Amino acid sequence: MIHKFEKCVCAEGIIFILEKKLKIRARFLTKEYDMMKTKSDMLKTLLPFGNTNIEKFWALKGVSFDVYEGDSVGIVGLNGGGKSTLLNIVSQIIPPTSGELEVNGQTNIISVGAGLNYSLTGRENIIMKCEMLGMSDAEINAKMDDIINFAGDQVIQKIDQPVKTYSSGMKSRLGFSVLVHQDPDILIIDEALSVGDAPFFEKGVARMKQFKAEGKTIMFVSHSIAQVEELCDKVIWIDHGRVVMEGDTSEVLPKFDEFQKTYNKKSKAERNKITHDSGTNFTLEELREANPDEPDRYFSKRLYDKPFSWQTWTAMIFLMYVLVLTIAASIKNKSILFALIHPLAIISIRTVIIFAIVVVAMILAGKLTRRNKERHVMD
Amino acid sequence: MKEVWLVIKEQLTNLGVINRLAKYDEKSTFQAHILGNIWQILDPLINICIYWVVFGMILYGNRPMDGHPYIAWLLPGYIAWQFMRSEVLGASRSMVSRVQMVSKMQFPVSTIPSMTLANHLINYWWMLGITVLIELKYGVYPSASWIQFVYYFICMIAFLYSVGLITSTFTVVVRDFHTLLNSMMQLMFWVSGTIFNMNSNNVMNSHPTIMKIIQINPFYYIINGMRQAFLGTGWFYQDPKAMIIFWSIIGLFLIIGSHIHLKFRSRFIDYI
Repeated sequence: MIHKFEKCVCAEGIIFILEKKLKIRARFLTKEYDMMKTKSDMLKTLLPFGNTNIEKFWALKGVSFDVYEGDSVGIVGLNGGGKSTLLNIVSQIIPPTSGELEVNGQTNIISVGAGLNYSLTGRENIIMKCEMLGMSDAEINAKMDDIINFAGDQVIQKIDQPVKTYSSGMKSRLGFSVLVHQDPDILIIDEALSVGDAPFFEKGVARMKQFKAEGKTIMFVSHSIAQVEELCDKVIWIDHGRVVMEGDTSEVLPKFDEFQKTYNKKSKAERNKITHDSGTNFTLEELREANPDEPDRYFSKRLYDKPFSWQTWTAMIFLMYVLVLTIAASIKNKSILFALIHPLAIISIRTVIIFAIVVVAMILAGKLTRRNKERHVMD
Repeated sequence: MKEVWLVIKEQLTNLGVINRLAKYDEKSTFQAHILGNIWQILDPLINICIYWVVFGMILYGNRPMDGHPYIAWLLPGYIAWQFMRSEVLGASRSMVSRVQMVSKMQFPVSTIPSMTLANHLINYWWMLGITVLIELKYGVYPSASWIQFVYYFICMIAFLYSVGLITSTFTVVVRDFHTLLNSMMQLMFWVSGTIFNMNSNNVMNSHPTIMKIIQINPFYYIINGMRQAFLGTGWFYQDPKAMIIFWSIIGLFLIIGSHIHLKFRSRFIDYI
């Protein structure tokens, strides 16, 4: 684990060295989405062969930052800048396309309205949601009353009624109060405070401040500059999937505020200069070249988008072979042993040739359609 | 192969949560019904009565099947079919209907098909209890052969989970798939020998190749096996070819299923 040493000068002039634990370490996180324009594009992503040239969209283009214990970090930026994607990756809900993420501790994302089952009662929903978040029965029972009380008087009256009879504000109160009663090290809040009425909002902010006082690490996304100012010490400004600025709240927020206010007056080139958006398509190789000193593992794609590995291919071909032989042996009433020794006596050469031709034709067709598409794009 | 272990490991570490959430699921499905969960058993019972009357009494004229009354022959296979059918259809919709719920928490999405499985399993145990009672009434008593139930039960779970992984992913991406699956299950019902005995059919016996092709079907393997287990007409190791065919199909399904599941799981939200 990496520690950060912070110098702290006290009133008497004695220098303390405070040790801070690293909580989140992100290196060159990227996230790529497929842009599916037609229904056939969706189908194509399922096929292991053939045309896979689907247009890509990079929501994050290499985001790096460190968050230490007790920090409360605000993430600001315009709509579609990649804030929510970043929070989802940090809370390990979605995996990044490439890059490295190290999280020391348990994260908990607060996003209202998620995970409520409308035909169960409020109480059942609380139990269900707590269970999904990995709490034990004893913990749930101990916290039940707190959760219900936090949600407010209106919810207390209806706690044993199905959630579908709740108003939308009440639903979000219920969801919010379940989540703030978890005990995570790292709290991730995605615009959760923007719902609910003023009294509830105040309650929520008070609770957040309490978390902060307890020394919990907080990551906070909001469009309200006032909220970020109140809660956060550090701010990361993200635009077009890149970090524009990172630093203390007093330093970054005024600049972001100014950018936001003059946004519509600026020309596109001016905006792009501030947000570091080059405008051209992003590739991982580009990121690699821009950071030649970093290790290679930061810039290679993760497992999820990779094709079958050779082990998988071997296992699949072996299983296919066994399957076809056994079926043939079964139909021809021969023993498996006989089939293994004389495979050609079970399956005629003609069938093998026909099968081979079909496979080759499929591969060729896949290659040809890909070439056609490329030519089409170039025209 | 890494993907398969990853997916299986997620199931094993989350077994407790899967079971508890399945119960809540059942509760919410029949929340508005007066008879509640009883419907889950009542519905198949009505179907069984229909098949008993139409096939057992009218078509087969109360002729014994493999030496047992029709109802005793029908039940072990039919309840397995009923469970598999509802599970396959439920699992294929499970991801679409539940991904919203788990989208904002760290919840292993690969357990969603298992949740449906655990949910339907509750009904299966009830139906199994009823079946054993009826078997006893018709003179089928517990024997060593009943041990085979454990083997075929494992087969059934492995098959249903691997199919569930594939179909749930497909349904998220292409919603039409669920409708297609529904029609395919209609076909499966007739070719898997759930309600009539293919082994004692003259037409089938004169075309052994057709019979061999039908036997490739994993549904047939499980339904036939369940019958074997309860009625004591054979042992699972007596047909190694069928066993190899079945398990290599499961292996292929599992590899393909976990591969496409992992390929798409980060993007499920985008498709809904």
